[in-house]
Amino acid sequence: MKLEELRQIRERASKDLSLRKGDARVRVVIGMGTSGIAAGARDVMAAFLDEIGVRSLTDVVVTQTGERGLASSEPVVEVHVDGEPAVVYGQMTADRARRVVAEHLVNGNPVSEFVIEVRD
Amino acid sequence: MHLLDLVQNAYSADSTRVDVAVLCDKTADRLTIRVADDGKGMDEGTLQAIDRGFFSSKCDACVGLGIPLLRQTATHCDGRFEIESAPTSGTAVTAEFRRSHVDLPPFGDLAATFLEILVTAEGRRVSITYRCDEEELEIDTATLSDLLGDVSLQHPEVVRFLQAYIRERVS
Repeated sequence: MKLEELRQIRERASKDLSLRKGDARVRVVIGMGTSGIAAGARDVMAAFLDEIGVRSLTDVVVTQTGERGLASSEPVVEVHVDGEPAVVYGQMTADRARRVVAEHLVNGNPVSEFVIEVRD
Repeated sequence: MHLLDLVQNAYSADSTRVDVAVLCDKTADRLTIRVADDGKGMDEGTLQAIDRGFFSSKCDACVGLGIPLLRQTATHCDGRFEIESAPTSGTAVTAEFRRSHVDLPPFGDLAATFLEILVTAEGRRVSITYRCDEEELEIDTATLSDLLGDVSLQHPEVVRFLQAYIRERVS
C-alpha cells in the first residue's frame, strides 16, 4: 500500500462533498484512558466514525480524552452540540454509538436511557 | 501502554505540533518511547507536583498517577524516564526500557493506538516514527493533509485506508 492511494480517495470523497474540514457543530469526545479502552472504547470510536461517515455528517468531529474517574461507567462519551448542555453517555457499545448518531446527532434527541450526566 | 495517555496530555496542552516516536534497538536491548509537543509547557512547581502523584489539571475526579506509574515502570525495567518542559516552550517526555525485562508491559494494540493518534489530531501537525526490528512506519498529518486536500482524516474511507496501511507496517 502507498500513501498516494489517498489521492484517489480524495477524488471520490470530494465528489460526494462529504466530511470536509470545516467548523464543527458537534464534538463527540470519547474517553480513551486505560479503563475506557479496556471497556471497549476502541470499538465505540470506530462505530462513531463509521456511522458519521455513512450518514455523511459534515459538521461532526470525533476526538478523544483520557481517564475521567468514571471507570465504572466506561466507555464514556460526551456529546457537545453548539448552544446546548454537554450530554455524557455511559457504558457505550458500538450499537449504542450508532443510536446516538441517529437520534442525538441527526435528530437532536439525546438517548436518555444511556445518559449518565448533563453538564452546562 | 501509556502512549495514548502521553499523546492526550500533549493534545490538551494547546499544542500545534506533536512528535511521537517508538523505537526498538535490538542490539542494545532498548525500547524508547518519546512524545514531544510545542504546547504551553509546565513550570518547576507543576513538574514536582506531578512527580509526587495525585496531581491532575484535567478534572476533579481525576487521579493523576499516569506519569508516576510510567516513571516507576521505566525505572523498574532498567530504563530511565525524563520530562523536559518549561512554560511556553512545550514538553517532551521520554521513557526508556530494557526490552527483555520480564516486567515490561505489553504494547497492546499499537497499530490501533497510532490510528487513533492520527485521526484525532484535529489540525495539529502530528508525526509518528516507529522502528522495531524489521518494521518501520513514518507518517505525519502534514503529508496526509497534502494528499487529502479538504477531505477529513475522519472520512471513513480514509480511516479504513490508514488502518490497513498501518497494520501492514506495525504488527
